Order: sequence, then structure tokens, then C-alpha cells
Amino acid sequence: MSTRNSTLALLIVALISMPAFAQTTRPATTMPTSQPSAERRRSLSAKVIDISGAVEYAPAGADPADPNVWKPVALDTTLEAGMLIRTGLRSHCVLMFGAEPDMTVISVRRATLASVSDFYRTQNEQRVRIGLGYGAVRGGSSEGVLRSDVVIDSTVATLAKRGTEGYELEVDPINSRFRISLAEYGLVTAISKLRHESREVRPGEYVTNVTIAIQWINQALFDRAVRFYDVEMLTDPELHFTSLEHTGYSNLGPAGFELYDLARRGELPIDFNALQQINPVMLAQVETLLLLRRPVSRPEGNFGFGYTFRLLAPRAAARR
Amino acid sequence: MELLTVIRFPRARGSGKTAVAGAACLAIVVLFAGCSHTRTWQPAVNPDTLGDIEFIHYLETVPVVSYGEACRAVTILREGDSHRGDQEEPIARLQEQGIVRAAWGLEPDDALDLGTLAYMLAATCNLPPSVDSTLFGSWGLGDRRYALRRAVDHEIVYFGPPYKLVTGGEMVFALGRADDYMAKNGIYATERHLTPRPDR
Repeated sequence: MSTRNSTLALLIVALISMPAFAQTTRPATTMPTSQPSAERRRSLSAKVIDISGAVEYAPAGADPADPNVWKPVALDTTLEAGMLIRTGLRSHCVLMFGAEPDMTVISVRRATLASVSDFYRTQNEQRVRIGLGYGAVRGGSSEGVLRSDVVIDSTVATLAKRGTEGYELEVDPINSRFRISLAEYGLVTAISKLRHESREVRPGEYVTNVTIAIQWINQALFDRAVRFYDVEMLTDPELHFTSLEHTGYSNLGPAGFELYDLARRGELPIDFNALQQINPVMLAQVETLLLLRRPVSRPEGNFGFGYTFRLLAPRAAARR
Repeated sequence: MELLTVIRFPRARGSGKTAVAGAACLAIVVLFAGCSHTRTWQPAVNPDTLGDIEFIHYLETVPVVSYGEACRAVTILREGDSHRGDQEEPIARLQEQGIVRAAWGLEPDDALDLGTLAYMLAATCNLPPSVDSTLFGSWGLGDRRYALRRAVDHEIVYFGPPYKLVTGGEMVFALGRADDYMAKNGIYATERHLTPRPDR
């Protein structure tokens, strides 16, 4: 009996502890579905195929401000993911990612600081990520067997290409300016990080902050209008309506409230009861000012008094 | 102070003609002499010790560019090499080549303004002159202001007032645009461009 009990207890303990073991081992065995698996993903390196002027590179993780980490770039230098590259004035270099026919060529233009953020290949895709600190980057891609996915990212804007040739991103991060152009063919998506707006760029076009802003302002929908007007801007019917709405001369509804100004927007933000308790003298002054400015609505309603020229005459006379 | 007194209270010292003449003289003096500000910010490293490519990327981090730094950067743009001298040397070279003017009275430590940068880049890129720059700018009247218009028209600099101080990012951006313009139009400085102009 005791053996049966102990066996039953062991079985219960094992059943209770099974989900816990399963939970602790799950992250190690499960791969996220959005990221390519490590077996399928093959990291590659870019190759320098053309140099003009002064071009330097630094290893991944180096401090760009440290002058000792920079080394001159030579032809056929390979750049791994994370490496930095910078060019001087009257200088540029051309990097080749991949090989024919799935090839992406990136030209790092003059006075530019850029990095090869990522470059790898999966079963059906070749992905290139370029980070642009400042300056300009130009590129083109050809797609053969693999789908080409190229994104040039900066702190100001992002360029995402879709099977194109002759695209360029130029940024001035200090002033949050950029220009994304497409010269040859294809389609480029320009994303402004400042405005969180995007626009597609077709051949022969370019976008900047200004063009995106114009596009945005043209497409913006305004569902609420706030008007500022003066008496000189109003017609007589508008003046009539406004005077009724704001002066307490409107008709009463069945519940004893005025029909005009139901939203109570015409009232001053003053709590008269609280002001009466705090400072009656000030309340008297405020009421005097209100009386000078306009009639005060009575709680029981303003019967028998239509608006008179005493209210409207000075401004109405000025209009004429 | 005496001049201000005359301008503000003309009847106290003489007729209104005196005030008008004084204001005109003051305007002419300001117009020709311009305004210069010594840069108070000092870099952590001496830029004269940096190589040319390091110097260009150092400029990106500068909050306000000095006149001496701008002259060195423009020398690199024109000749591909700054020759690594002191700050006076590129200024003298650019004065000989007509890229900057001694009449501005700028010192190497003075802060660079947008009009001066535009004049330097417009002269470097050989931008076509405008009527105003030919009639007035050629003898110094509003030369940097008209140069700014030309540089903005060719998208080398962004529009702004000519007295606006130039940040390092704006300087590098404008240098890149000027570099593009020169490469596109094939006007990198040759030996002929580097010889002093006879009329300067």
C-alpha cells in the first residue's frame, strides 16, 4: 500500500513539474519566425572595386572620432558587416555586394561617413543594409535568381529600393535635411523620420523634407474648423446671430435655457459663486466690467428685451 | 556716442542734415566693413594637426566654423590638398586666387557667415555672375549677398540670411554640393585656375 502511494505521489509530482521543464527549454529550441534561421543565413562581405581620392575604413565597433582606427582602403579590400567607411573631398569609392547576376553596387560619395550595417544571403533573398551618418550614397541593384532587398538608413531619412538602379540618398543630419533621388529606373520609397511620412520616388524624381511636407499638407484632412473673426468681417445676419448667441438675448427653450449658446462656449471661465466667497469686491468689479461689455443673462431668462442699437451701434457705425 | 546723440536728437546739435549724413556714413561703413565675430568655442584638438580627410570629418562636429577652417576646406576642395601649413597660408593662397577678399578684414579665428561661405564656393565653382554681382558686387558692394543668391540658385547652399553663422554640418554639406557641381561641370581647379588673377 505504501509502495502504491509513493508511486502515485511520484507520478503526481512528475506531472506537475513537466510544464515547468517544458517552459524553461522552449526559447532554446524555438526560433523566431520573422528572422531567417542561422543555418539558412549566410553572412557575406562587400568588396571595394573602385577608389578615387582619399578613402578610409575602420573595423566594426571602432570609435569614428579616434584617428588611430582608420586605415586607407585599397582595391579588393573586403568590408565585413559593421565596418565604417569614410571619404574625403573629391573622393569616392564603389563597393560591390554579391556577384553577377545578383549584385548590388554602392558608391560612397564625397565627404561621407557610412557603414556596412549588414549583408547576408538567404535561400531566396540578398539583403544589404547601409548606415549613412552624413554625406551621400548612390547605388544600383540587379536581380537575378535572388530577390534584392537594399535599405540605406540614416538618422534623418531611409531609402528602401525595389529593383532599381541609380538611386541616391544625401543627408545633412545636423539640420535634418535630406534628398532622395532616382535617376534610372525602378521605384524607391523615401521615408522621412522627422515627419514619419513616406513617398515613392520614380525615375527622374527626388524628394526632400519640403516635397514630403507639401505632399503631406495637400493630403491632410481637417475635420474641425476654428474661426477667428471680428465684427468688421461679419455680414449683418452673422452679426445678428453672433450678438444673440453671446449676449443672452436669445429665446428660451422649453426647459428654461437659452436656445443659443447651448455648448456654453460664449461664457467666461469664471466661477461666480466661488468668487463671491473669496473676494466679493473683485466680483463686483468683474460684474461691472461685464455690464460695460455686454448684458448679463438672467437665470430666469431675458423676456421682452430684443437687442437694441445700444449694443451694436458703435461698431456698426464704425463699419459704415 | 556723439554720433548717436546727433542721430537721435538732431535738433540738439544741429540741423537734420547732420543726422542724415551721419546715418549714411554709418551705413556705408557697416556695408563695406561687415560684421565679424570671433569664435569663442574652441575645439578639443588643434585642427592644424589633422590630415585633410580627418579635417573634413572634424568639421562635421564643429558648432561654428571659423574663417581659417573654411579657407583650408575650400583649398582642399580646389586643389585636393591643403598643404598642411598654418592657418594664414590657405587664406593668403585664396586671396591670391580671388576666392576671398582682404577687404573683408576677417581673421582666421572669426566665425564664418553664410555670405562669406557662399562667396568662396561661388568663386570656386565659377558660378555664372548675375547683373547685380557684376555691377555692384565686383567692387565690393554686397558681394557676399549676391554670391549667396547665386549659390542658392545652384543649390550649393540652402537659403538663409548672409549674416547667419555656419555650422560644421552645413559647411560639409555645402562642400559636398560644390564638389558635385565641380565634378559634373569638369571645373576642378587646374593650373590655370590656380594662378593669381591679374585684376585682383
